[in-house]
Amino acid sequence: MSEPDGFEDFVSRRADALTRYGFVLAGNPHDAADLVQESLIRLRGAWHRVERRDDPEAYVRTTMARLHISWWRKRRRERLTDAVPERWHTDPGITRAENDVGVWKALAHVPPRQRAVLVLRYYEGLGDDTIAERLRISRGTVRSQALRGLAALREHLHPEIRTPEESRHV
Amino acid sequence: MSEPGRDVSDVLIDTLNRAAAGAPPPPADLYRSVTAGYTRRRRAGVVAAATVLALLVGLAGLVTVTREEPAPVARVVEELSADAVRTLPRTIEGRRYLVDAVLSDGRVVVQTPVHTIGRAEIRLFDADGRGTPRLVVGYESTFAEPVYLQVVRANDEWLTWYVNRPRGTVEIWTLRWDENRPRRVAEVRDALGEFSLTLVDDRVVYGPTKEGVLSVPARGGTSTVLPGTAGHYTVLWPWLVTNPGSDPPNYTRDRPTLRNVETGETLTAVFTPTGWRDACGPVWCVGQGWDGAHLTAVRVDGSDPTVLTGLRTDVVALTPVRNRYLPLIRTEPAPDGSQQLAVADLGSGRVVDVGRVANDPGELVLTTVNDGVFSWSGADGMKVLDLRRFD
Repeated sequence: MSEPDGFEDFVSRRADALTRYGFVLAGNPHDAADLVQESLIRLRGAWHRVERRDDPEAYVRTTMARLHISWWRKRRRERLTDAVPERWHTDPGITRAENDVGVWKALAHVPPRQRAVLVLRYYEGLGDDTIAERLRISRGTVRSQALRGLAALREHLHPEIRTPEESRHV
Repeated sequence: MSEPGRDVSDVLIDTLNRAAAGAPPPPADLYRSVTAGYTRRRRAGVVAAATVLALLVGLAGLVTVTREEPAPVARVVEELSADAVRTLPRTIEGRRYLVDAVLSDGRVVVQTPVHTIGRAEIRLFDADGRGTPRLVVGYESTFAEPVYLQVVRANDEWLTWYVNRPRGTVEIWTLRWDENRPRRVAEVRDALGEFSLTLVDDRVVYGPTKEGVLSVPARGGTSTVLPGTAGHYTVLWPWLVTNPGSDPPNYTRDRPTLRNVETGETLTAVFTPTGWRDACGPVWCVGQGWDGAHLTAVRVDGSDPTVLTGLRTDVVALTPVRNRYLPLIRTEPAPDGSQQLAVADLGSGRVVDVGRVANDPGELVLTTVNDGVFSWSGADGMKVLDLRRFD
């Protein structure tokens, strides 16, 4: 079976970036690798159509976001141990790196759909309309999921990381 | 910890970008895995369509899968082998852990994995399984230098494990129990998918790499490629398996081939991968459907096709332990809502319930299968079933 023109080149060029995206989406390297592989398999099946009419990268990223949510629905009761959030603890010292550590750990507590919205908005830099299209939800749902996701994030963060408004009352 | 008043969304942008920068790279054989997966799936679709057509035209006799179902639940495992299941503390200093190996004197090797950031450790429980297990080795994983502690194997003399470093480097380490001094015995830059370790007496066998499967003395030394093992990976030592060598694979022409590297014996599996995932050991091939269920098994020679109804697996290996035991999860939860774990004995066709996972709704089920050890989080602690003692 011959490979379609451009597919191997696309995988070669974009594998690193897609893996990075999968990592922030899933939160662990194993699920990230699964997301990338499965999405590329689906892209392979639709390559001629996607290449001709659409943007292959957007197709893969959309597939990854949707898979992330749907897999979680199926697997929420049986996941690999390394996906389990570690016990929360605050490291001593005040540095940016620790700030990141706290946010990254807190992200593990954010439900997958909310996390997907946060990743699309704050990592991909997409607007609410595009996010709504990618996740097949309404624009209002995007906003509510983002708000809930940020709220869930704050719940698990050190009290110093809050919105400016909240900071004034701390 | 942060600039006063800094918005969490600003911090989130930084965090996501830093995390992405530290993500492990994709496997070197990603493209091949994708094309193989696509080809397999395409073929599965053709097979499914052909099967439906055969049924429609009254040629059901052409469909070879029998509907032999394993016997229903017989007894709980404790009745079968009273000392096969052990209970360890639920956590280690408040942290969840994975069980990697049980030594012959009853000591248990475990690891506390981390989620990118934190301290990953290998620890050793005493034979009585009580108290805090001894720290063997630990790694601090940070954003700047993430470390992923991977496969941990052990026998009575040696411990071996590997860690993934940024930029895809794999470091293989060993430790002799009576010396307690870690040694870095190999570094791999071209690890392929299915990369794993096997401890064979005082050697560590690892691979696959582009060169093939390699062996290195556990005490350190020169790594050597096992001749003719390019394209192979270890399935159940001394058996290696090679999936179809063509690229993309042709499953009609090329069957999974198993090779015993000690005796030179080869077997070609009479098995056509048709599902989501599959594995062939030297005795059984097992396939899994798209949804984690629809499990089928067939002997490597094509005999005894079996459908494992009412069972599924998402997290455990598909290669039967000791060439017959397959840890699984029942499709239907127990009356109390917990997940029911079972072991299917492919040799006898029986299925034995081994325990329930104590989990609140939404909590995750933790199961691992390593070196013949099946473990899960039970109501009163971590349960460890040594399938090497399971009869």
